Amino acid sequence: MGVRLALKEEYLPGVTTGLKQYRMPTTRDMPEVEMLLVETGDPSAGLGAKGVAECATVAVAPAIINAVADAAGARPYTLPATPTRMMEIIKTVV
Amino acid sequence: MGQGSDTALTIIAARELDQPRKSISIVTGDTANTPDAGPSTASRLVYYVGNAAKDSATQRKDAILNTASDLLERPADYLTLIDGRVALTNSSEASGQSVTLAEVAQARQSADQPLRFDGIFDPGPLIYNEETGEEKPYAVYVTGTHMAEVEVDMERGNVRVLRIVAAHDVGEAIYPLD
Repeated sequence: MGVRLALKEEYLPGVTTGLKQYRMPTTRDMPEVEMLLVETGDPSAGLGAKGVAECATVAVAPAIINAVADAAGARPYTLPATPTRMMEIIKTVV
Repeated sequence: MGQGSDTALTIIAARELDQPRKSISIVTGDTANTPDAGPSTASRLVYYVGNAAKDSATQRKDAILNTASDLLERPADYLTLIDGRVALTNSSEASGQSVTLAEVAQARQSADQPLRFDGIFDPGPLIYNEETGEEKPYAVYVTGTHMAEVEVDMERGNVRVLRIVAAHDVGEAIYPLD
């Protein structure tokens, strides 16, 4: 979900008419995700556990865009960072 | 559906009752048998329903041990739940002395004692002061850090994600990875 927000999916009213324009990431776009569970035991309830379902998607796009900014030398400010948008910002630094 | 919540809730109940996972059967989304616990959205299910499942299992465990205590004529403190049975904690003392959970259930049924326990979890009032941004709008907070490694094609503008490392504070992991 984070990869699509950073790089792929965009709905433009009137332009997006189907999945041909609405590009979704596939398995080929996904790296292996290394997952680290940090267990601290939440004291607010007996179980000690808490959910991370949606929380796990929040940090993906910022991490990718920070890496893009580091690699390209310019930062995209509009998501998704499609090739067209990337070429516009690359032009400003090359 | 699809969130793995049935597995998580089963593990929570099994752990609390010291029973294997296979002896717990879970019923979800059956309006005749299950109360409305709200949706499995917003990362809330393990926290809310999980704690309610734990509460229900704790009540059940106490009831089982109390009934087994009457049947075995031993204090409940001396008893332990094991796979399908209640046995004396120090079994070497009088090995073989135990009752099955079916016997416990029968004894409770004939004494007109409940076999059903409703677990409740309420994290308390959630208030948010829009003017000051203070108070407590959510029951629980999670933190996480992600790191990404990417490759940018400077001639075509393509971005390729090579690696993502995701670290999350989960409180306590329910599902064992190993």
